Amino acid sequence: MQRPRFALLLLAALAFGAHALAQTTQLTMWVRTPETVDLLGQSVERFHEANSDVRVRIVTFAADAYPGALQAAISGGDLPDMFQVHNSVPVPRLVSLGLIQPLEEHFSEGFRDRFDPATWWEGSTTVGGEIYAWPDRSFRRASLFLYYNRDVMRAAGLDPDAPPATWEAFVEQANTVTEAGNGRVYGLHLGFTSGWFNERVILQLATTASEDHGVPAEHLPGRMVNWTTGELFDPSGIQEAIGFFAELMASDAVHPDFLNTGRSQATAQWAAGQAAFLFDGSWRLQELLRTEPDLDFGIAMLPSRDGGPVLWGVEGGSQNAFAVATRSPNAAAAARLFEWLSDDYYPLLIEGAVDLTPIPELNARDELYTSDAFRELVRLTELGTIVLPSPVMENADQLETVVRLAGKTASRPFGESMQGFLAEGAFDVSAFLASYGTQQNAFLAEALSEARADGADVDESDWVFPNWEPAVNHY
Amino acid sequence: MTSHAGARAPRVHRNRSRLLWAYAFVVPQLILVTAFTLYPIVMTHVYSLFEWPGFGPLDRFVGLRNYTRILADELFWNAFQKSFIFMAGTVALQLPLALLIAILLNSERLYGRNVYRTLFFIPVVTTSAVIGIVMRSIFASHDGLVNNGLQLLGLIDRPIRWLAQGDTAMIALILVASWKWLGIKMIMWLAGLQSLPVELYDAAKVDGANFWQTFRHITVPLLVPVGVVVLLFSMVDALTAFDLIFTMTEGGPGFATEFMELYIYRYAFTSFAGGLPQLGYASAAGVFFGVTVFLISLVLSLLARRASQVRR
Repeated sequence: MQRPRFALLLLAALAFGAHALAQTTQLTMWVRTPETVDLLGQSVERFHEANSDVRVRIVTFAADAYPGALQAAISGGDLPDMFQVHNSVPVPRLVSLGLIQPLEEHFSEGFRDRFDPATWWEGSTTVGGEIYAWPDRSFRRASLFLYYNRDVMRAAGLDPDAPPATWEAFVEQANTVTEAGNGRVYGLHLGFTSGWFNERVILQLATTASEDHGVPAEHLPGRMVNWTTGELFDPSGIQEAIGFFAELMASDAVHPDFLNTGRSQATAQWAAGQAAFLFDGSWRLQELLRTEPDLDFGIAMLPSRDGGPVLWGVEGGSQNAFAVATRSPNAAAAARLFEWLSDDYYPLLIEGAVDLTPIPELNARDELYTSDAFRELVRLTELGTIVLPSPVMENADQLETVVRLAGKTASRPFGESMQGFLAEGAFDVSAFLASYGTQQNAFLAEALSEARADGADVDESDWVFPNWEPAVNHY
Repeated sequence: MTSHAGARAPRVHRNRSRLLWAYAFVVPQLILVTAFTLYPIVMTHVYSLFEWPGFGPLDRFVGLRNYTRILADELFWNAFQKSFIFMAGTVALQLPLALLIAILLNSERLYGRNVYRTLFFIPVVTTSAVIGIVMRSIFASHDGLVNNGLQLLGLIDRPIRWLAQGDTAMIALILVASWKWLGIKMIMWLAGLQSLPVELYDAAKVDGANFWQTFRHITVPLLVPVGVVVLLFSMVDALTAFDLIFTMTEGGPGFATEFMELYIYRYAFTSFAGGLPQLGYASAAGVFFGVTVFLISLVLSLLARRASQVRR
């Protein structure tokens, strides 16, 4: 009699377990920004404690591997519940393919109003005025900075609190460090192996090389738009920026492995004292504060030709926002998670020295700032990160042009070409820049013409802003 | 008549049963080959005729435009050329070196030959990605093992930027790839050597032939069919070295070590230069390269067949 009773109890327990599992909503969340993974994980753990009916599984990706994974998931009809968007498949395209669903109806009343109004940006987080993506941070996001190792500067006899602000001073200090290092320590290190990163370094440096120039931006990869003329790629200043690098290389002031070292490894070598200066992203700061607590380092603007700010363009919305797949039946649970993260995870962004949040009220809370280096990063961001003009803001039909433009790429990509040129100087860089620029400008004409053919009321004039000033926020 | 028909019935039944069993064994294989080999090959050809990012409707038929684009793309020809340079380098290095080692390890007088065989085989079973990452450090300009060794021997004054210059990066890749696959080629040569008839060597010994004469007039001619197979495998290895190249040089500097696999991958699965993936274009490049490799393999197979006929 004992055995059947035990078996019945076991069956009942299993049935109860299965029922409980069936009652729990399972959400999968794809994350491609390593700097936010830990913070999201912490916040999600607390979300689980407060919401026993929802379980979130975070899946992380290396940044370079993400476009391929996203593409495979889209073509396989296997998108996860929530995923970070990527500029290889812009939000409007995801919407037009019916791959993501609107979130507005699932958010509580007044949720939208807590955010900086420019967070809800047509073509980025909203389409047709409706919210399709939740921003993981502020759109006012910086790009590259100069990190300086004070110990190495001291050892070379330099003032550890006076990092170089101009190209001339930088070359001088880098040479001093290299000479003092005697083949063991170099002036500059950076991981120059990823095309997109190489592109940012050169294009950002170029923004200070001439009076009238374009500005690179995350939402317009491979481009350097001069909004006064509407040129999609303005090559002025780029050759000078390359010359700045070539000068450093000629005097062996750059780490000899920079052309074949990844960014993480370059950072580790710089932190280990192999170089005084490092060019890397704003995202590197929180990692350094966490993993190198004893490292005496500072953060500054990338050196510029004239000492002015190095520029980086942004638009509203969010380049790393999370969208919810149409195939997911759990949009309400996902929206609940996003609301939770807006209260619980956003403050962690500031405390963890990662980025500003899209909620101005939180950014103003002084007690959240736990690191001086992050305060400095925020100050520098305000100086160098500029809100660019947007053709879509002038004419909503231009969204059609922007989507088509995203599908057009140069036959010879800029970042990889720069790596090849710095390695061997094997081609004529001015001819390359001219042909690259011609190709990019032709892409705009093609995209406009295709959009017009599909019924959009667009023309080139929406891309021209005669009164644009590169160093001033346009909105 | 009745007894004859009665005798045939079990035979028919047996034949039918045998046929059913044959189908039972063949059908699963047929399904797998169709799903995972034939279908992808056919679809690659179909995709190559469309402008398609790899998702969304397959509705922009462009005919042969992708093919005309690849033929006009200098980076395609760069990758095409680099693939064959790499292949020629690894084949030229691996084949004779693996044969030499196989001959040495085939000697019964060599003590501990099984240990050596294992040592030469270890790189074959080591993950290519791990080898690529470790070799990055070994070939580094700053404190790299290769440069330190060469400087210690007084062969160079200052470190060579192995992976930061196109030519030296190609040499480093050829050296590493050859080392990685040496073990398997050695085993193939060794199997060939051990299958050679002993009586021919005995006869040569009786005739007073020395080692070199025996090697040249007996070993080499008899090993030709095995050699063609080793050559075929070496070429295939060299043309499918994606993981090693990706982790060691990522195709750089610039496009100096961007071989066909990497070229196709960049177009098919990454947001090349920040834009949408171009799976249709990548498929056209894959088809073009695949046909080239198929033709080369075909020629080699014919050579192998002819060599084995000559041997018989």
